[in-house]
Amino acid sequence: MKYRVISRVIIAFSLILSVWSIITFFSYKRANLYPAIPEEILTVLKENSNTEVVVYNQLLDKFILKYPSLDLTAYNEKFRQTNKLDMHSFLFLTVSGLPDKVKELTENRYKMEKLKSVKGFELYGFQDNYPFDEFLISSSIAKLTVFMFSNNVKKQASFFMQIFNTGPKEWHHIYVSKGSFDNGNMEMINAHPIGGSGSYLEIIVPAQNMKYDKIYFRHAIAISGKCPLCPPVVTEIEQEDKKLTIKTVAYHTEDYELEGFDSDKPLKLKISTENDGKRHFFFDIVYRKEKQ
Amino acid sequence: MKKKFNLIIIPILFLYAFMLFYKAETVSITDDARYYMEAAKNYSSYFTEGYKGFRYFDKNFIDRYWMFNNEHPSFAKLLMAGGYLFFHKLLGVNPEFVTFRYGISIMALILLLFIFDFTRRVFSLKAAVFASLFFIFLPRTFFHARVATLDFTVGAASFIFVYSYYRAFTSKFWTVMTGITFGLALATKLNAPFMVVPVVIHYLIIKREDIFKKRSIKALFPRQFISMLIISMPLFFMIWPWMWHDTVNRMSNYISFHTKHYGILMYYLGEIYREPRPPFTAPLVMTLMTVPVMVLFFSAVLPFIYRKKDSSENSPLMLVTLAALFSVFPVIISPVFYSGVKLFQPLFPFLAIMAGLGLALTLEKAEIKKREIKYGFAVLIFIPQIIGFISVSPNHLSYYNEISGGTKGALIHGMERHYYDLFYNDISTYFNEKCSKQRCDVCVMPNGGEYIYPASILKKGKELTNNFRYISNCETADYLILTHEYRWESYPHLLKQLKNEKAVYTKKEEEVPLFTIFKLK
Repeated sequence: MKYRVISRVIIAFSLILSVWSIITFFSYKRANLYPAIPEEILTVLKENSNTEVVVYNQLLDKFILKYPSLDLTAYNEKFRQTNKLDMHSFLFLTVSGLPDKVKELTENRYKMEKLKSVKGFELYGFQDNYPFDEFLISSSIAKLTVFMFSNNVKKQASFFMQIFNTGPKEWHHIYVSKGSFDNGNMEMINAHPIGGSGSYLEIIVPAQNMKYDKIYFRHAIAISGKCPLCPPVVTEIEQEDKKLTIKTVAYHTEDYELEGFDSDKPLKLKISTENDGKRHFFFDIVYRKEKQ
Repeated sequence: MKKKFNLIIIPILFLYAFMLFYKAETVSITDDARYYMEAAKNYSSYFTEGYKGFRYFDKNFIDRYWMFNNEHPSFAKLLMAGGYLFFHKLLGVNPEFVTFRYGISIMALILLLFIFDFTRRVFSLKAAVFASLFFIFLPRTFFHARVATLDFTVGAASFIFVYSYYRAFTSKFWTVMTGITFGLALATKLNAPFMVVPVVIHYLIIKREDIFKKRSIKALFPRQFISMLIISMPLFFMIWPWMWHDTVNRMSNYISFHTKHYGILMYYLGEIYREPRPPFTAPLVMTLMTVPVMVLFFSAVLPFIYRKKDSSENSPLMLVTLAALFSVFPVIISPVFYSGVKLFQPLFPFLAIMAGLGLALTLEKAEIKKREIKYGFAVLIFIPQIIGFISVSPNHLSYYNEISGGTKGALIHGMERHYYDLFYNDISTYFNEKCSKQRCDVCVMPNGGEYIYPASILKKGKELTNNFRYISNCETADYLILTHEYRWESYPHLLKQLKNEKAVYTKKEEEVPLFTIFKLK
């Protein structure tokens, strides 16, 4: 008797579940999720055409090809870690509220305002209150010039789709990516691998069109490249007659201040890993000045 | 135990065989299949060449054919080699690469027989039919049964081992088979032997009185475990000639390869994971999202309607439940990457049995008198699973259930829309048409390197035009294929870079793009 009642309840519930499954199946097949950005929001985006628009990841494939004129960036790309939040202001377009990570990473640094909410879309505006104006060279890697030296033969690395190809193999690259370090994950310029006997890289960082107070060389070897007995990665930094050598051995990121170097003059970096291409070397150049 | 074989499995078996073999060449090539296919081909050469001078035991001869892909044992690859020798070499079936898959698909048919037989013997015929049907329509498992990889065989070997163990309580033949099947599980992949844990726990529970109170010697040394001890390891070495020489060193390399396995990226709930690994709940969440709703539901109702028949019963449901739990357990303690379910294939035969039993018991205990209503209900239960299964065919690794909202919903939840680095048949179809007369240089982003070998396998099988030329330098390419995969950090960036290029073809599943071909020149 007891089992009969339970079984009949299960049957009733499973019938409902089955019908729900079929209806759900056809409804999500037919549903055209977020086919277009609502006109009201599009207007705001166009009014702020110089401001970067961060979109919730899952909207990216849908809209990036549909609205080529908008400067859309994926949330996943932008909010991996705080160090890349070098934007003074940005817009955030979402369909499912603000992700916790965005709230967490912007809490102390940005003033946030909900600008529009239309047909499930929400548009937020962010304005920073960071005491510095900061620029990271990793955010405009295209401006670098990269040369490879092998047995004293100099060759310029080709640049395509944000990647410098520095060798014959697909992983001979210089590009921006996230590294895992002892002090957390951080997005920097990944120069792995650059090994090979007598090989090194020369990177020209162009002069900045703004005067910054301080310049830092941020560097580390990722945990994935741990190799206790391997030689350090050696970076020589030159600017006119000024020259200094930095050896990277740590698995946590360090900011080394380039005292006496000017932001309005180009920097020349010479990076060498001797005969070891396995070091997962990451670096960045950070330009900083106090906000006016 | 009922012993009579029931012929009702025959039509189900034919249906499954048809599903597995029909258009098997259109199933995408996975990035790892190339290693196993090449290894399997080498193994077949070992057997066909070795008789000249009987060199089967010669170290150099063994090394020549067994060196490649020695990080994995041989059993699954021997199945592939069997498929290749029989279907391709003997019967002349083409394309060649499909015949490797046939070896795995035949194992899938054998597994179905075991699932059916186990369920029928220990539960009921109805439960066996339902379990079989639930099993063959599991989309992701079905995909793994059609590709030349190790994962399906791990599931099959694990299940057949558990089956043998259970039957060994009443049969000497299956006592021997327990040792053999455990040896085959050991010889499949390093995660298969974990199935010994639920078996031992089950044994300790059902024999606890004999062991702990009566201190019976016979119970302390069960014949199944003795068989496993005596037979499994010799069998493991016997069918893996690579281990015949330099054994200690090679065994140590085999174990250390897996203990120090490199990290694989996984995109899960909007985040990319390598190290740290995904949360321990990831395998459970993946199961909830990728197993058809009805299978989950009828597995979950079992505790409410199952009643043990009598005290003499060896608790088959407890065994099935333990096996299901422990097939996920290894990946919970060290959460999986990949498509999320690839590495816990042993779960699915047990889950199907639980669901089949749940449905059969529900029908039985509801005491519905009219047969039409009873079976009409049963049919209705399978409809959502079957339509979901058909709708993603042949891209079953893009399947997400109704709770997830399908592939589209899963994407919104931040899940990867497909198993990565798949060389889709649609890529071949597109380039066979577009490049029939001139050479096309094609690069693939973000992870192009994995597409070189599948392309050459397809060319060899005449499934892809020889005018298709993979190049790594996208600057000089005529076409660029972008695979939409969030696990690659560079993906959003690449998409942005390509927004002004001409997209000429997009493969979609439920409107979700899987890959896009851009014409660059």
